[in-house]
Amino acid sequence: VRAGDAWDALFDALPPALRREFLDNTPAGPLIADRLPAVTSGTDAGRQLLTRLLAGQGLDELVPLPPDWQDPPAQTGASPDLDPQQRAAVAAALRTPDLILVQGEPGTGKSRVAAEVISSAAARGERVLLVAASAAALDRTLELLADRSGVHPLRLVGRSETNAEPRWTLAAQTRHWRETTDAHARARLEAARARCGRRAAEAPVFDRLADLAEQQQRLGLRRTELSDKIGREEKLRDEATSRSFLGAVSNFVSNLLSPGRAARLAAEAERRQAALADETAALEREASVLADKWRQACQELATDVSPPECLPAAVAAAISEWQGRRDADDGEFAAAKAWADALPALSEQLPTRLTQSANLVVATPAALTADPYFGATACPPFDLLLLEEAHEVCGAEFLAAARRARRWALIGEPTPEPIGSYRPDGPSPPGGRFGSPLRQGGPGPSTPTSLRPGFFQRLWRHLHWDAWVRDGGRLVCRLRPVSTSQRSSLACEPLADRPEVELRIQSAPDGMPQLAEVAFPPDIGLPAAKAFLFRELGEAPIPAPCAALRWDDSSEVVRCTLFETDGVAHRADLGGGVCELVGQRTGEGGGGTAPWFTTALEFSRAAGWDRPKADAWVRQHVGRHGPARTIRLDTPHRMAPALARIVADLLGNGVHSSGGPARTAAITPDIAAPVEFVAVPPTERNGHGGGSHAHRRGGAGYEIDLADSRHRALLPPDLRDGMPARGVVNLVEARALVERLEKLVAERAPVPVGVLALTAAQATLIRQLVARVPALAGADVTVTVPPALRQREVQTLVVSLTRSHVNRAVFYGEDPTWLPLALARGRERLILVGDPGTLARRAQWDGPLDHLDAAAARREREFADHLVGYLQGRGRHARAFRVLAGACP
Amino acid sequence: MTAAAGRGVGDPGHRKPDGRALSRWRGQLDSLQPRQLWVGTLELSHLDAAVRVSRAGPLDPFHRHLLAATLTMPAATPAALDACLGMGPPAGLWLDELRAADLVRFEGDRITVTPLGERALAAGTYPHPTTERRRFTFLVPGPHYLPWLAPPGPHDPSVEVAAIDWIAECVTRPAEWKRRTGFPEDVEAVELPAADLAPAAAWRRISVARSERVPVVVAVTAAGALDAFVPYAAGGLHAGAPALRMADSWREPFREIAAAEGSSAGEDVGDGWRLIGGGRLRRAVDME
Repeated sequence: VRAGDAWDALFDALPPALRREFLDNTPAGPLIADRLPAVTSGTDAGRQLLTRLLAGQGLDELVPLPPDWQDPPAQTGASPDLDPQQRAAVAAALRTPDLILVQGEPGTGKSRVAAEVISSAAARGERVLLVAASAAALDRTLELLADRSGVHPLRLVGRSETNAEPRWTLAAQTRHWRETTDAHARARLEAARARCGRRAAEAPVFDRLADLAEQQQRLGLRRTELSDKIGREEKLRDEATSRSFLGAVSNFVSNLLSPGRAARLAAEAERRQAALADETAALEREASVLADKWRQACQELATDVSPPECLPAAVAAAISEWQGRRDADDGEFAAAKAWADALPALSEQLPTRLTQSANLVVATPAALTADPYFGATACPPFDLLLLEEAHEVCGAEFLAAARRARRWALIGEPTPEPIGSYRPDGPSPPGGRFGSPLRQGGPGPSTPTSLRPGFFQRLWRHLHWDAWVRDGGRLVCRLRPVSTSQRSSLACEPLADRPEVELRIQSAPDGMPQLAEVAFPPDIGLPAAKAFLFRELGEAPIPAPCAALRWDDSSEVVRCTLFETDGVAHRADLGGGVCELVGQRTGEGGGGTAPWFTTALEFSRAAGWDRPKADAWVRQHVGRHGPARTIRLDTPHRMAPALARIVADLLGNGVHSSGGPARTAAITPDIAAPVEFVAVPPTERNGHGGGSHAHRRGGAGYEIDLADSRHRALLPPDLRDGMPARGVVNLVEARALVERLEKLVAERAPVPVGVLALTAAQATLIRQLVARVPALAGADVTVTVPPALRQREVQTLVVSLTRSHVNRAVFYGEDPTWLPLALARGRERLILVGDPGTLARRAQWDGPLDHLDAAAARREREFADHLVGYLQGRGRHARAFRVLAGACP
Repeated sequence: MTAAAGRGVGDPGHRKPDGRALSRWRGQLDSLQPRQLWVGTLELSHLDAAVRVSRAGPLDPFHRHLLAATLTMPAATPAALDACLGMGPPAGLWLDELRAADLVRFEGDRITVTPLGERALAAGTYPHPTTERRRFTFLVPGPHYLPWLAPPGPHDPSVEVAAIDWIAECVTRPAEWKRRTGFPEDVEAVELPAADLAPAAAWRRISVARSERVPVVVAVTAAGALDAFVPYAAGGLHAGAPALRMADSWREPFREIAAAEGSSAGEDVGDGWRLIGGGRLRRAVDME
């Protein structure tokens, strides 16, 4: 009975939690048939779960990850230089029964994680579907996978992708076969044919060589005979001229008896000697002719055949060797011919073969949908969908891709609630939602939510679980996740002996009430609340760490580190000798994460704790709450550590590991202040230098709205013509920036140098100015807007903040994502050019602003606030920050 | 003569059949010329398990040319092969497939054709190792492997459940035993779930056990073979579709049939029929 397909279909129809349960509980023994649930064939339980999760439900359907989820499978061979959070993200993507969300700022190694997940999944024999909003992200990940064995990608290209066709497309590979492989095969065949021809021509040469070798052999025999003759003749002559007494007597007697005999004998001897000399000369001539013929024949041999000695045996050996080569050449010719003959048919089969064999299919959402094979429902499901740039993909696109896979790993950036996510019935922010001159596109208010980016952030907020949060000024401990729909049904009861503490109770599906949350009064701090909760309820909800636990034993405590940080940790004495160390992020944390996190646990030896007992406590309390489907990448990998610290501080992501991986060691160490701020106008002039001088509350008003003809007229005519019709520019700032750029090039700042303007019009203006400076001609400088540097970085980054308004708080960037994206593009140096007064005004405005909603506006305000703090010398890493005065009129 | 539907006359596993049912079965099985007719109940345990099998299949044309080129090269490396064939990126894919099929071996960067690869190249075919889900049926207690063909019924928790080891033990038995009992000879091993497998792959290796107590009518044919039939609900049999057919190896699992030759005592069930013996199977003797 072959029931494989039906069995696979059952797997797809089972809810992921049930799949996990079966996989975990039946490692070797058989599963009893009556335990299998009755499911409708063709049901896609995974997609149904996703739909519920996207709707803010389904949390109770998520089973915890296996206890050993952080241990990567042995055969996957994950790179050792991943940081702990990256390793955790890779492990979670491989081990999750349903989905995992990985979030990180630009430069924290998201593409790297994607590449590692793909490589590890491929090593396990899984098929992966990689989808990203942009082709650049896909190609970046493919670049990282270029030298990985076992990964066989197939890149689907959408109609809108106008870039050069990537290497891994079906078309590129098919064309390679049609052109290169075919030409190669024909060349190989011709070469093989020529070699065989040469071998055939060598056959008579070897016959001649054999003949010549025999002649040479006979010549040798004759030479030997001649030599013998000469020897005998010399012996006779020696005898004739012998001076011995008997010889002399004998000659004398002979001459007496026969007068003239001696003369005759001498003449005879001379004649024989002459004949021998002639014979010798003839032999030598014959040998010379033979040698010439031998040389001539040898020259006709191919270069790979060594000319043998002129001996029959040597020739026979050479012939044997030659025959072997000839056979090999014949074999090569046959193989080359078979290959060349087969190529047309194989080329026909190639697309199908590659389509079916690729274990990594790479596409944008549009390309995937349009593909006739992978876009069809009949395509076999992938084991894993890896969605990069999830923050830029809309829910409908995600669901369309998700139904083609059994598990989903979503990787994206923390973004504020997107533009399209405002409530239609909510109040309009000041300035109108899309009324800004900077907004030139984007989804309109009538676009359905499912067609707007932002599902990733919603999903993150739904799945990300922080035990301790602030809720309406009260500190709340969340013991289990409560979905939005369940929240309204929570029953609130005051604690009997402490009525200011509120218990929020949830009715479970089986009817048993469960304590879901405990809310504390505003005057109770986190340490006291934690101590109370553990003392009264025995609960110490601590999320699972992203990295493996680190244990340190000392004579006083057993310490278990959950999260490495260089920040200050507060101590919460839970009682019984257990102390929880709690760190705090500098900002909100981004992405909806809470400001607190447990860094370590300490167990006092004086209270009787030892390592086994502490280990048991940790097993009982850590990672027992929440779905654990979110992982945050915090370690900046692209930037020099000093720069990374300030950027993280500015963006409100004050949590990051202090020790980066080895690659950061390559950063130039002698840059004292990796971040500069070029103030335009200088801080002294506008009163934003800090301290008691901060009397002015507004910007210099240098910005120019190109859509306003009076404003536009402020631009010199030669610059004005090249500018777009709409947009905001700041000429004074642009000139100051170009001046700083000249100095950077002169002082050989690390290249490449990138200039990012927060409006497209400002980028155009800067480009025009740069083109007029001879010193910048040929310099490695790119001037553009932040999205153009996505997936790319520069060593030295100059950012034009552009905005300079007299008295109004204004937003930065044509899109809320531009500013954080821009700040993360530099590796070694960051030079910000902007108006301190406008920044200070922005820092004071707390609320929605133009097209920014509350979350985006708050995030931007925090950035402005932190930056103003640095300008006033109050930044956390102020020593790595310096303020320069920019030129101004 | 019409048999009652459902459990009863046509259901020897639940109730002793009467002479009319026996007569009907006898008529339906007449073409087999049964020497003996037995009725009763068998306890079976079916096990759906993933097994590794090898089945001869043609050598993929892409693989063939790559193998041929590898074989002729004294020091084949991926780069050298690409220089020879100019296949480009797909060569890596096919080399991985060849390695997975044990047709080539990698030693560092060097590729050598295995003996299996050489045989495959010469013959144009090779045994493709694949994992398949197959059903194995065991008669319990015993256990005895049966080449059972009928689809299993609902699980009966009162019947013993087969163990995976039973299949593994059968796999190790001699080919002669496998031929005799009908155990599939192409099964090389049982594939068990492993912790480091991907979920879908691990799922394919989960075995499912289903035990049942199934009513049967067993006929020992004139040729000495044993055919077993599961009566359908209306009480009839599909004489052309036995649930079990064993040529000569039935004597071990059905010892009572082998041992009960010649017995003639029994209980009169009417219509001239008597039933001999007890236990799971009882022989029906035609008094006529």
